[in-house]
Amino acid sequence: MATLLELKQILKSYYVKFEFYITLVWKFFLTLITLNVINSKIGCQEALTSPLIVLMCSLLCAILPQTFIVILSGLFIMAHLWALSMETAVIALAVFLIMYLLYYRFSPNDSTVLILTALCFYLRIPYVMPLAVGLLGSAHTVVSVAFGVVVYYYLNYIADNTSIFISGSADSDTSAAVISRVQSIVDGVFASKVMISVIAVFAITTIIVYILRRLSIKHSWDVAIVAGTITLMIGILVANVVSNAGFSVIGVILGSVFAGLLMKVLEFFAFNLDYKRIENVQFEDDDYYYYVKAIPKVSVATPDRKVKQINRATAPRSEERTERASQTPSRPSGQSPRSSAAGNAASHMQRTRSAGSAYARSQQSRSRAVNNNVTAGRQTRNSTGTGNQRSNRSE
Amino acid sequence: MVQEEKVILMTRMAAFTAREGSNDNRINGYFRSDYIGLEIVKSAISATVSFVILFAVYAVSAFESILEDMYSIDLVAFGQKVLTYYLIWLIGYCMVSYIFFSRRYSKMRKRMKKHYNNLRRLRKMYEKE
Repeated sequence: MATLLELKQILKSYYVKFEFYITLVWKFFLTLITLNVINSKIGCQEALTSPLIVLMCSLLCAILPQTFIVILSGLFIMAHLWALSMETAVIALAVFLIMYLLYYRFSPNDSTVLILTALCFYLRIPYVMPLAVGLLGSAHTVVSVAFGVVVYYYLNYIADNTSIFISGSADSDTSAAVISRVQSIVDGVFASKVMISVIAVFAITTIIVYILRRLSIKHSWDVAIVAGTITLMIGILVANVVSNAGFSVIGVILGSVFAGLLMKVLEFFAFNLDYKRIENVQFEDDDYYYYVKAIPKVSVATPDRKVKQINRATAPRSEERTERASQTPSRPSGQSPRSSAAGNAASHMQRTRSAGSAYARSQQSRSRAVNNNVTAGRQTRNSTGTGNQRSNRSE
Repeated sequence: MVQEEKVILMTRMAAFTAREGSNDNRINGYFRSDYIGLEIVKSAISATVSFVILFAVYAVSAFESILEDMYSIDLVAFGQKVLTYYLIWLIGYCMVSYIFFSRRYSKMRKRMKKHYNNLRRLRKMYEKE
């Protein structure tokens, strides 16, 4: 466990150090995976399926704010659906508009949850999201999870029934055909009992996990994970019976347990999360321009190394010898008893590695300060000269 | 001469301005009632547009049944029913918006008070110089 905690600290320190690049990389990969999934499922607009376009869009989203991942994914979906049939694109536009008007106007940063929820479905780990959102997010993020489920079921329905929507035949553009296609979408997706029951189960699970995680009890995260996994399992199994969804019972149980185990890993990294961002700010006053990089402090617990002295009997003698040497009247010029004691303290501190690094540093700087004071006092009685020079140098 | 304390304070303030500061400044330009009122008006428009979209999708999907019942149903009663749904939707959404934007305004005021305190401290530092 100690090794794992140490690993966590090391990862944390790396994250703080390379936070900017890590953010670029995860945004790049999230966009790349999302666009590839969209292209593989409903890739009707051939120009957008080119790997070069996908790569360039991913690079663009890596630089832009994360909301652009959702906007670009939405545009890709719209373009593909427009190539497939007009009504699927119009309904997708209506869904996105409703999502924006009702929710993302309040909380635009939650839009990443929507993409992740849909992606988790495609990656066959859909039960991860309600647990993860309950642990890491806030209660209202459940809306984003619900929208993610809607988007997944909509795209899945279109992908499974592409033949219905392909326009090209003579009677496909008549108003009756358009209306029947819209009806099939509404019946197949928005009136689908499976989708509604999955949304309900996910929402209940997320809220239960969120409430339990916030309770001031021991092991609240563990309790939340276990309760969430059980709720998810039972809820999906009940939904399976109610809506005749055809979920595999073993798949649901194994998927829920796997999601619970993943949450344990997540808990390890995210519990007492204090990854702060590096601040790169610039400002000015009357005299200076300031370009400041403020890095949050991270206390990395270094392993407690103990140096075992085999020749223990001789070590104190040598120290005694140095002490005696410092007390002899024939000491070299420019060396005072106080400075040598401070020097001994510093050298002793260098030898002992078991002490914490911060403590050693503070002690060393203190002993250095003692040395400097002694030197300054000896060299000149006028304290202003040396003192001012030193302070200027330090600034 | 660069003062360490001053730089730390200015860095904190600059970091705040770069993140929430710009948005908070915009909200702080309104009185509480004006801000919440404006946002509720926007919410009412959003609720209306979303209701129209939902109703349109419903109307297209249930087009045949609506056409069949066109001459047999009581249009006034149907209109009242739709209007009732719309009002419930509108009032519910506006209430949620009111709670959300009230909280957002209160949080903004707390952050801005802290920011103004920092500004005051900075001004005192300059006055001392």
